[in-house]
Formats: sequence, C-alpha cells, structure tokens
Amino acid sequence: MRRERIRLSRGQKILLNLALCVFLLTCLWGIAGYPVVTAGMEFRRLERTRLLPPSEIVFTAGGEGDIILNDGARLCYPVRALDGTELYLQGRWFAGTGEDWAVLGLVQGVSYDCFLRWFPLEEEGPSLLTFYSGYGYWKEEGLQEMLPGETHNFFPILLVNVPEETVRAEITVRQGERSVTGPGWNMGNGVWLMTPDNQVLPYQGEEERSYTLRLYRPDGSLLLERNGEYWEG
Amino acid sequence: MLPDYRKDKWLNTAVSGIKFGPDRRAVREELAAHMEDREADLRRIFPDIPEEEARDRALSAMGDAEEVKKELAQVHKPWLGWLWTASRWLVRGTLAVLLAVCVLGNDHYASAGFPLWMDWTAHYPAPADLAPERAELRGYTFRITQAAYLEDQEALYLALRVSSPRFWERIDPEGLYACLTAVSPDGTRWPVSGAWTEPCARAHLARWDLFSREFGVYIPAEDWRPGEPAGLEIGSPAGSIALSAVAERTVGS
Repeated sequence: MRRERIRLSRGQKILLNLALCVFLLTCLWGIAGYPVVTAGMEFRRLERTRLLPPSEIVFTAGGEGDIILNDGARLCYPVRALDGTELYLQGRWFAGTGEDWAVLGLVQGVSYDCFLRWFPLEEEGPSLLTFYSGYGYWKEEGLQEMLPGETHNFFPILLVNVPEETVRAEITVRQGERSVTGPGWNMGNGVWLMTPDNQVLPYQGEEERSYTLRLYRPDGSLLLERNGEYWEG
Repeated sequence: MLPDYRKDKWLNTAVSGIKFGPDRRAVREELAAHMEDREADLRRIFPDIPEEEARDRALSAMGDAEEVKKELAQVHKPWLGWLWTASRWLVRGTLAVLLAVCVLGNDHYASAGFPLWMDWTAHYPAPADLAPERAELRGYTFRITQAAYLEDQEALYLALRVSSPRFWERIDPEGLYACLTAVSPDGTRWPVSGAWTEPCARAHLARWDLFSREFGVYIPAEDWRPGEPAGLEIGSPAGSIALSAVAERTVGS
C-alpha cells in the first residue's frame, strides 16, 4: 500500500526550517567552542564552571561590555588610578569580591585561554589577589612614546578591601635573595594595584614568594604592615 | 483574433494581486488548468460546439478577472511566502557554512578542543552503596557512577559524573579539582590534582558527552578492605556537598 506523503502547511514548513537552522547554528557554535559575546558574559561563565557564586566586580582592565569574539591576542588595556595616572595591564582582567572570598580572572575570546582563581579574604584588612604571569607598565606623565628608562614595567598584584584612610601603599616582594619594592595605585572601590618592578623579579615559573605590605595614613604614619607568602603563577 | 491572448490576459489580471512570485505562478497554473477542464467538459457535453465558443464560455464562467484578483489578493498574503523563502535560504546557507567548516577544518568537532563525546578509560563496576545518590551545586548534578579497588596501584577508583543541561558550559576540570577533596576509607583527606603529583589524589577526565563530564579519581588506600566507604567532598564559596560510595570488587588497573 502506498504511504501518503505528509503535507505540511507553509507555516509548518517555516517552523521546521527555523528549527533546523537553530540546530545547525548550535552545531557551529559548538565547533567554535561556545563563544559568548562580551567579556562580562565570559567572566560570569568562568565563575559558574568553577562552582563559584556571582561576585561583585570591583576592578576590570577592559570593560564588561567589550566584544570578545575572535579576540585572541593578549592586548594591553588601560586602567586609570584615582589620581589620573594611566597604567596598562596585559590581558583583560576582572576582579570580584563576595562575602568572604574574591576572584581574579583573565577573559579572552578563546575560552581555553581564560583563567580564573579564587582567594579566601583575610578576616581583617586587605587581601592579595595574585595574577597568573601578569604584566603591566605605566609611563611617566607627559611622555608620548615608550622609550627605555621612561616606562615602568611591573608584575601586578591586586589588593582588595584596602581601608579607606589609606593614601599610600607599597609592597616589597622577596624571592630568595632578591627583593623589589613597588608603589600602589588607588583604583577605587577599596582596590589598589601594586606595581613591583618585573625586571628585578621576572616571572620564572610557579614559585613561592614572600612579601611585606605597608599602608600609610594621610599624615604619613603607618596604618598597616603585614608580612606573608603567596604563590606566583 | 488570438483567443489565447484573452485567456492569458484574464489569467494575468486575476493573479496580479498576488505579490509573492511562486504563489502567483502556482495559482495561475491552477486557474489555467481549471479553465481547460471547463473547456473540455463543454466539448464533451456538446460535441458539436465550436472550439472558440467553448473557450469563450469557459472564460465567462471564470467570472470577472478584477473581482477574482481582489479575492486572491486577500487570501494570498506575501509575507508568509517571503518568510518561507528566507527560511529555506537560511537553512541552505547554514548547512553550507557547516559543511565548509567541517571539510576545511577536517576536525569533526575537534575545534572546540575536544570531540563531541569520548570514552577512553576502562569501565569499572557501579558502587555497591551510595550516600547520597546524587547532589547538586551551582546547577551541576554530581554522582559517583563507578567504584573499584585497583590492587596494583593500591588505590580506590571513584568515577565522578558531573552533568548539566547547559551543554555550553560544562564544568571546568581544573576548577573542579580545586574544590574537590577525596576522603579515603581511613579518613585521610586528600587534595585532588590533575597533575599526578604527590601527595594528593589523582584525577583525570575519563569520558564526556554533550551534557556531562566524568572524572576518574584515584584515592590512595593501602589497607583497604571490601565494604569500606570512600568519599568525595566539593567545597566552594557557593556551598559544599559530600558523596560517598562503597567498592566491593578488586580489579587490576
């Protein structure tokens, strides 16, 4: 017996075609690694896939709304301190805080280049968020070109929950017999970007380093001094 | 006189209100066929009727072309036709792009880093006892699916399956290991690492599909006895869960 062909209405054919398109586009999306459109979306996905609750974003190099499709290169993004100094960080970094934890993430267009690490917060005072082979630089004011000796290259360390009365911060980082002291820059929201020189202590792979952090009041007196260790890399 | 000219003129006028081309052509063919059927019927009923008169009568029976045009225009809206054409081209275009990517990339879904599904580890027995059967955290479901004692490694093997309907954000292995603690039967707690370094429980991605990833965790257990439970604990700022399983069988690696 001949089977009758199922005849679909035009509307049904349209729905079928659209469903097929959605399926094919999903396959293409999967082949591309399920990219998302903006840096903020990718940061939130990094949090979810690492079982972290959503944090309050307190610092970004680059913006949450940055379009990151096909964004493979680790460019340098400007961040402006409250005193107007412009610093540059390589990579689109996000820092967020929660009740007793903080996250630091690197967001790129290619998902397997992304990176996220979470840190428990100190019970009192500031907490350190260390970058994964981070790099940055800042230029002396008034200079237009990057000439040797006139730019300051650094490996970044982020401080969160810095007391409001802090007007100056510096960190001394030690590894073996070498040490370097670098200034901090107030980025707002209780966040300070510390900038020890990376030519004195270049990145040499994962290693433990010790530090001394000093915060100063407006009158120049010491507000806080803390020693500790952290893992670089 | 050109009788076909009158027929063509009537047909063209009648369908001129249909904006969508394929519909206009299809309706014109249908009306022309209908006209020819009427003509044939007249010649069958009146075998002596002249051909020209049969055509004229068939044409008259079709009605006023302008009235037919208005009625057809009301019935055949163009937007549905255009939408249908657009959807067909969308499917063809998307399929062409997908084939091009697969052929030129020649990687069969490997561009995303991993194939769509893979299963490259030995299968071990299901656990004899589970507590609880499954747990959820941050939208992911966790379940121990296999448990066995590996005699030559002196380790308990637990397979942890992490699934989610969100196939575009399956759990990150390193992120999971950072939150995972393995508990051996004697109560020793081991951090979990994918780097296979001491002292920790080792883990690796054993198999995956579109909605899940399964991790093999090797927990040091030198003095294991059948029936002793081992556990996996996951702790993050989002919360914590604990699963335990009993392995009864001893297998080779």
